[in-house]
Amino acid sequence: MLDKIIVKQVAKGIFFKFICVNLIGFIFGLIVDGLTTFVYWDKYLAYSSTAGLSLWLGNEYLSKCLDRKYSWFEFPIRKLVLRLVVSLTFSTIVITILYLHIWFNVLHRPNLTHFLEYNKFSFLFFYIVTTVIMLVLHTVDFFRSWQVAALNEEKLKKESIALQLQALKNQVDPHFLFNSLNTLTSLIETDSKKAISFVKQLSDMFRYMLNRDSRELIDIDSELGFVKAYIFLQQIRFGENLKIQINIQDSNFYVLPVSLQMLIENAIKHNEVSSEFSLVITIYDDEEYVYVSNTIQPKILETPSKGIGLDNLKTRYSFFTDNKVVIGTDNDIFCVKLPKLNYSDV
Amino acid sequence: MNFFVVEDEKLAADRLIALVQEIDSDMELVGKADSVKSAVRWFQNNAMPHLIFMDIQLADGLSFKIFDLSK
Repeated sequence: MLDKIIVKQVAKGIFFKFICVNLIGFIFGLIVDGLTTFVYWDKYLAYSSTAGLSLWLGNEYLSKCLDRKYSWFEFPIRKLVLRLVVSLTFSTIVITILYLHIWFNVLHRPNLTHFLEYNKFSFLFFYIVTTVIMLVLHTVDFFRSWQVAALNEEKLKKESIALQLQALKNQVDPHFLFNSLNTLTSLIETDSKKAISFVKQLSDMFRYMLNRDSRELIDIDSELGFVKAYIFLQQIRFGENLKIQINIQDSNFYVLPVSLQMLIENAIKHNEVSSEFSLVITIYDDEEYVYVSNTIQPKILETPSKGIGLDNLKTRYSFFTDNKVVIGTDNDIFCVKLPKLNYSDV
Repeated sequence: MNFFVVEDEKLAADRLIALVQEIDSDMELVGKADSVKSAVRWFQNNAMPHLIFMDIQLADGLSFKIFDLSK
């Protein structure tokens, strides 16, 4: 079925080309030889068909080969020149063979004297026609691949928006929301003033998460504000069992939004936070890095972490800096090093 | 009747205890734990209470682990 359709299409294409080359051939004949063209119509038909079709199909094939090698956007000029050189060389060979055949077999000339002189107009005509056709095809091709590229770009944009949405959904962990609402229920009964500030901090936190574009950078002060809101909420849940120390000296750098919070959330998720074993998380910095470290006190039967969150963080950072995100453990301390970012890095 | 609470969030534990005693003021709280380890230790050293309330996600793991470790 498919084969039949392809054969039909190819046949249609060749028929169209056959008509075209013969039209060009006869017009050329009328200009050069006048009305005698009609007397020798069979010869014109034969020559136009063989020469025209082999020129057209051959050039088309060669262009396709070149297309595969060079993309339009990397080397537009080189491609244009290469295409012209290749197709003119190929055309010269085909036309020369045709004229040599006419020269010896139709005109019965004994040798090649006056061959070029006799045929110079024909050659010139062929070159002009070939060049014009090549340029037209080239332009059409160029705009077509441009269109394809624009379409692809649009597709990429859509994909990246979808990814962003997915990332956002992951960020707003439903478990966290329900835990918070649960805590809030208790707070309303026992300490309504605290409940009010709890709701305020919760809404601040969600506003920050929903407004941030995960591909943009955020200054450390804004991220710390968000982190503090998050810590406030968690400390109401865990009380004295969760101890977080923040000691950032420098306020003149950027981080990826939600990165510090994610590391704190990870620490809470994977470690015991109880009256017996309080979890200590420390956030500090030096010249080049921000550190988030915590004591290691794994939960019983903790399913090993897949590290997707950390891998994501590494990838996101790699878009902005050559400095690596470093994850390490040392003497019961788990620590993640995030490179400080500047706008000059971007 | 007495009861025991296993819950890692202090606020939630307090609320649960208040709710239980609101329903029946004779209910006596004999103890509470916020982790698998502390719950297991309590059960080894004390008489079994009449009723136990358990959260699932505790500070150091799932509360089902308490049943395995208390045998």
